[in-house]
Amino acid sequence: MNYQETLEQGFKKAYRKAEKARETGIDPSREVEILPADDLAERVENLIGVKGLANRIRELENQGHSREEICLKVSDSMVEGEFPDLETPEEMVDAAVRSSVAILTEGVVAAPIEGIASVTVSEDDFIRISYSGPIRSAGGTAQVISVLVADYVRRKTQVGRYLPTEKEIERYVEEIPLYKKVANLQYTPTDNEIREIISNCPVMIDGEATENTEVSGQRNLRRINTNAIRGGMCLVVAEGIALKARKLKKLVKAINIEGWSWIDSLIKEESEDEDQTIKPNKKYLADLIAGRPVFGHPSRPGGFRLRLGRARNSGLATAGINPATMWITDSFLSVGTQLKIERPGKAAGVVAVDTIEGPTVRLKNGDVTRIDTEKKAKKLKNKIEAILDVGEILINYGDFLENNHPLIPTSYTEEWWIQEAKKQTEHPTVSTAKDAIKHTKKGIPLHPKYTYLWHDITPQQTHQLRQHIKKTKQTTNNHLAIDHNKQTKQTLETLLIHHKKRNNKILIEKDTAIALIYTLGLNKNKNKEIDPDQYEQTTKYLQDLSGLTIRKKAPTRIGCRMGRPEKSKERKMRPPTHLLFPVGEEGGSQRSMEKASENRKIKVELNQRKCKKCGETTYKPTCSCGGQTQIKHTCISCNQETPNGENCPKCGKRTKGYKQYEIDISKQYRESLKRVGERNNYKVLKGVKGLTSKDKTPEPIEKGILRAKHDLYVFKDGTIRYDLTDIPLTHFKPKEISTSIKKLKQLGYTKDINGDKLQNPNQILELKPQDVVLSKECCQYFLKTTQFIDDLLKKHYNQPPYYNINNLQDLMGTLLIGLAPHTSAGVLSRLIGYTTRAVNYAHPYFHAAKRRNCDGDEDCYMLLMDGLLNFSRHFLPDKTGGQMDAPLVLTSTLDPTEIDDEAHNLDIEWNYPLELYQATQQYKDPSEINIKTGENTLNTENDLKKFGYSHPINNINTGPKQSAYKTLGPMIDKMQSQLEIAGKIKAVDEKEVAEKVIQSHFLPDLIGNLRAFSTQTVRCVKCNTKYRRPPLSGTCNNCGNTLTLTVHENSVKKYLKISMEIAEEYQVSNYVKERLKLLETSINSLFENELFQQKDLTEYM
Amino acid sequence: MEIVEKCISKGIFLHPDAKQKLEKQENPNQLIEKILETYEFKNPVLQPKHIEKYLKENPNKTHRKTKPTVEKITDDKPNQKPNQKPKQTKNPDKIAKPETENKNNSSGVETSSKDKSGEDSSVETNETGEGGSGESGVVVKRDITGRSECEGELKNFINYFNDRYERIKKEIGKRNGMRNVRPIDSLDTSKDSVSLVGIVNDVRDTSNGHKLILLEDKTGEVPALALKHRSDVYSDSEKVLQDEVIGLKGTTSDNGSDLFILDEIVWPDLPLSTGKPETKGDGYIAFISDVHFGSTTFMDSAWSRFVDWLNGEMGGPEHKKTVQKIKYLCIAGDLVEGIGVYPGQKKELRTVSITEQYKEAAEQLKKIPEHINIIISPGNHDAVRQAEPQPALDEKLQKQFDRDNITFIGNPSTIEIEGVEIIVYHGRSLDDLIAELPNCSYEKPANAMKEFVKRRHLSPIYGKKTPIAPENQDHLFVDKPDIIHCGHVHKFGIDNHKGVQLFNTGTWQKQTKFQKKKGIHPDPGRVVLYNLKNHEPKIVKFCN
Repeated sequence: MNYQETLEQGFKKAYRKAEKARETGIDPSREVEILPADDLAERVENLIGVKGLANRIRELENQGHSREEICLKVSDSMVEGEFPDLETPEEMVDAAVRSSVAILTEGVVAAPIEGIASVTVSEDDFIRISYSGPIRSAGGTAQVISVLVADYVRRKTQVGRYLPTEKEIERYVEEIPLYKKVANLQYTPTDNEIREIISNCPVMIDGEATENTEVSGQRNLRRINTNAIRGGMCLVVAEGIALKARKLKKLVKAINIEGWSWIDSLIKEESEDEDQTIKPNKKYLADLIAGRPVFGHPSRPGGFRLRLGRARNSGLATAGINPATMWITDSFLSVGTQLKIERPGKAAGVVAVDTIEGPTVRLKNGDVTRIDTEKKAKKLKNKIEAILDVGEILINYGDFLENNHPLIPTSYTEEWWIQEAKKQTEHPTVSTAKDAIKHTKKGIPLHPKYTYLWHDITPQQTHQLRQHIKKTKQTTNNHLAIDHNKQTKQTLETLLIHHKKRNNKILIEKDTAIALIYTLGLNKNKNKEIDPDQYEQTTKYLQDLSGLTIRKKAPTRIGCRMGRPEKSKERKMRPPTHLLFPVGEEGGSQRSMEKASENRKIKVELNQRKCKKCGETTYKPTCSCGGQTQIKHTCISCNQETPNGENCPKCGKRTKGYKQYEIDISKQYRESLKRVGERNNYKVLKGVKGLTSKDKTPEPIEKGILRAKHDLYVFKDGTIRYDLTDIPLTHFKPKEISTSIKKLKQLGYTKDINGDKLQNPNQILELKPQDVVLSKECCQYFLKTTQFIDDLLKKHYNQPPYYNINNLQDLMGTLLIGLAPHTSAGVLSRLIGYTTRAVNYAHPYFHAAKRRNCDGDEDCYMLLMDGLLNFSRHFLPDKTGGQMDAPLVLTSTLDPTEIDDEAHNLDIEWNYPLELYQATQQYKDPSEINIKTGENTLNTENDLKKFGYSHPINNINTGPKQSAYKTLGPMIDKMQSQLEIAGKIKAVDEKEVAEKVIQSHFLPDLIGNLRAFSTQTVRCVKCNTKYRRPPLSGTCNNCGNTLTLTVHENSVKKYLKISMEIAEEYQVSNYVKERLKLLETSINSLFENELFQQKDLTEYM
Repeated sequence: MEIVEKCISKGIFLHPDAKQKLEKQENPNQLIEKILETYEFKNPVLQPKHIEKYLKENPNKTHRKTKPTVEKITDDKPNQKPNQKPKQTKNPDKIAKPETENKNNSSGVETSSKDKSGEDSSVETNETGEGGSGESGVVVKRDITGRSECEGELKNFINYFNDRYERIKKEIGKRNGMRNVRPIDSLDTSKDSVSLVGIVNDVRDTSNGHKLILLEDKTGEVPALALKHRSDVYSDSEKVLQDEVIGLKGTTSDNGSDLFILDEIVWPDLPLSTGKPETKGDGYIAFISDVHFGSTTFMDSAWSRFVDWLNGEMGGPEHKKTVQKIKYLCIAGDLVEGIGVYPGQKKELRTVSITEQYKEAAEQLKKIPEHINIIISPGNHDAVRQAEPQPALDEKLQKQFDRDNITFIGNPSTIEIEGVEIIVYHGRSLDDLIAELPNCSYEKPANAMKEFVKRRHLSPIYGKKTPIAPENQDHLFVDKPDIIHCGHVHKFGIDNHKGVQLFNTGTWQKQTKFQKKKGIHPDPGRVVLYNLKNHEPKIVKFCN
């Protein structure tokens, strides 16, 4: 049986088991409610509701068209009237736009339906797409395609283009930043970018009002129906067109549509210049947050040195970092921590790559050394005075391709050197400087190990260094000793040349010294003098001095800062809940079942169900007489029953499927305990205050009892979830995932990558696409969950247990569902091991099947059986977006052509070709280079296997176990650490960090809270009723209890003191200081009674 | 409404001959309204002579209540050379002293008690402010400065809104038919007509197209319904704002629900014009606002024209004569551009330090002739708390102004100058009113200012753009001023409502990026000159 069949079989077995349990009639539906998903085509047709669409898509797929092409071809078919369902041009445009979004989102998200309110042809003869909030779930690319396709169809159907008025343009300019304020945007385009987009976009990007906030400038425009903020529109313009401008350009090029050349103006800023250099880009520093350190200012020496490559745990928006770097930067970085980076993308997930170069530091005694291992890092951690260089950052070629970012000069490294060397010699190996020099005689560039950062010093400085060595050098057996002076020391530090400082001498080890002497031409031509002033580039100067070819060791630095910390945590609702059953006000703020049962009867709203057998009304799926019940709909006004849940036949009003019951909660609870044979010896059983689903269907209390017993929490849909940061993994070693060889063999891992039989835990195995390695904590949580499921089956469903698992080893092989927020389709997966890091390691294609990359996002897992047994659509909240983040359908087999195509850019070469390294020097477009990516293997037998990686690593579980951000105490401590790190790292300006944090975090917080204080709402401490304005009576008009402010003095003042201290300590600009002073005055003025103080004084005088 | 009814609604009988006379005029309906606004309520019968008098006093003025003269002083208008002994005209000894000292102390302070309805009508007068008032001629009658009691607790908020409620309720109580107001919790099913006074919690449309007003008093809340077919009360209901205090007349619904069916909505608007102030002072007050020193868009040249003009170095002989008589300059907020007022402001600052901005302001104000008493009230760009009422600039900043006769007041403040009572209010709440009321726009800020008087409150809406400092007393209550002076919106406006002169004096700043985004075209360089003798305003422009 092959892998896919194994999964399929396991899935079917579980399904049958769940079906049998469901038949008992305990759950809202007698059938399993997670539907196995068909292929993309089927999903899209179901979503859009146009008959024949699936067939057409399959046809086009078989013809080998890309997703984007399929979108256009489908649109063609629609316009040409191939679908009888579509009659008017408007219907055609509507269907074309929605299908395109659905196709690009694999038919798994709700965006094509919920995210597009309408697509209409305006009476002014242009196309108007009205977006709503859930368009967010489509992601930037699909948002962009909706606009492109609308334009494409517009041309075909000869509808005019949208010509905005000056006022309309300014409306967008006002509205989008305003949306950023109230709801936040990943990227806020500049005013000019917005003007550029709106005035050029040939279709109108409109939206429904999504926020309460209204614009104040361009109001009551004829063609814009609302003055309120149109959130969907803002998302499409900002996070779609503006943020994905590069991608859009690629799309435009790919589908060859005219009239979109204006998007170039949106990308000009970062794209390659005429003179082929790239400029520092500081966007990633824009919203600097307190407690999240900066590791390098844009492109500044001392920051991360770009190394091109992919390790088996990287790719799909990751940043490989040496674990030593993580330790010596106070453990803020850990596997899974998000980095906001200068390029090629916006963010990346941190992965540990223990084979690239680590940081170079200056110790307190003046010694300079590079730290490549965790061991050394831990040993030296407290002796470090300055971090001269934070080490290398490994970014894969595919990420440049995905971001459409020009290639940029990469560090000169072993893997590059070897390819140059191989051209000249058969077995290039270098273990000493002598070897390296020997090779240069054949015209091979100097080996990277002996190449220093000459490009960071000037020819003049080089000259001075040379003179100084010449003048003061003394040699011992092991060292070259030169006199210490400040300038020379600084130069050596910039070059990252290891040295020691002893008794006013600088000692350089022999091997290093040889390389240095040769590089400076001090071996034989020591009397040769060349005027450094003739040179611009130091490497050139050196070549002329020494005759060696010297490459630039680290021509590109990637600035970055910490984004959000990694996550590994059980999903809890707010407030946390064990059971979806209402306990009303009686449950108190804890929503405690115990507390509610202190009352005999409570009034709660629950669904009304009628017994098919005896006609009795109950809220339970099965009547006390044993008959099956079904939802009964009654008119909200006249209470008349309607058979189908339509509007009331008598008065035409809406109907509802629930009513208010007065239930004896104490009795219900006691009976439930008895039925499952449990005592309430858990801390608390938390229900909900009221249900938010359409018919207010509750869970059986028994489920909650058993969850509380096992200390497990439930999510809104009835499942038990665990959230983990996404990190890629294509190959692993058995010892890394703590799974026995025996177990792995059972799971189908029989041979390693070389085709050798699996027998020791250090062999490297290729990960199967749906297998996952989750954090140990997660596995322990799921172990408890299996015990809960078994208890549930035995005690509640009266059926044999399913798992029978007692330890983590036995848990391996368990089937899970992986699900990303904003989507409604889960992907079947299999647990094969655990990691000691707080992430989920899975195949990049698996992440892409969930529609995710690995730039710091997190997804959830649940047990397959939990989903099949306990998930019900009847629990889902009745509101826009309520269907999202629920496993409505399940993809059981991963089809590599039906994943987010971003993952097809993953490079899978074992070795990057020399051509690539050369191309980086010329800032070439990555698509010009021929490197094997996932794209190349699609529809071949190797579409899911035999992937390669360029950089081997020893262990995926290195570096700190979790980010210090999560373990450090209050914000002030984090902030202090952040500033300490800033002080140590050469590439970071601590003063700027201090100022930026105050400006972009503390000041807005202070101002916002101050404003909020002065316009605040109040609420009742007991019943939590909110009042927009404090009522005159001074007490709660609902229950008569005490009221309280929602914004207190303390929350307003929270960051004032620390801000002022930091401002003082780091001597931030006067401007920032004055602003703080001003806020202090304002705050004091609001919270100090001047009259009281005055009276005080006079009284005592 | 018929002419007669209009009169009766104001408690005035129309003489039949007067009616005839009226009907001969071009637009009798409009005319009677104007007459009633200025009619001095001594004689309950409106006679033909009153109409004659009005027409004589207001020839061709049936369309506007006040059409002040406008004079323009810009570079393109040739004027007298400025460099003829600039110091000459600055002759404070001659002009300023006798006027400020002789009259104001006596007349100014005494008239402050003119026809005010008594002890409760204003917030405690600021005793501390009176010391300086003698010399400057400016009596500060109401000002938060140094008297802020806010401690940021719930009780402050409760006190604040109760004080608002009590003050305005009293005003509504003076209106016809609003004397017997019932508490909301005493409403029963009797179908008698009842009056209520409360603070508005919410106004919304019902699904059937009626308007629902949720009214609250200290005893409870009632939903009041303006039925859509009752066009008069329905159209009034569209003007109701959240958090304002209004009176309602109506009956409880007969179908047993606790709805209150509206017959009429009563606003606390000033009842009748008391006409012009009775006092006869002398000289002029100049009103300006929103100078924005320190901004890159501050209009240097317009400002220096203004300063030159004040010094008699610009404009013809007529101007010089007038200028010499300017005794007061009132600045209604945003003297400087400030810092950190909005995100990214730094890029638009010429002077990045706020202390330096005030230094600049001080230097500029020093150039203004010494005989002119300056009144400075802060705005949302100034270095004081944003929440209203705002106190005056703090002492440290005040000391930078090296000049004796500046009166620093809070925002809002009520001052009295030679018997003329002036509310100086920067106007932050205009943003809220303009957003809420369809008849208000940035184009005509004086229209929105009328709402201050109609609702007897400077910031009726809570929780939107105007932050509130919950003081125990409501400093934003509008009593009975002769003038309300605002700025903030950078648009010029002048009007009169029930005898209250309303000035919005524009700005000295060019269009900012922010305003461009909002589509606001500012009116820079405008000064209102108010004649203390005949109480007429006049506009002088210093740029186009």
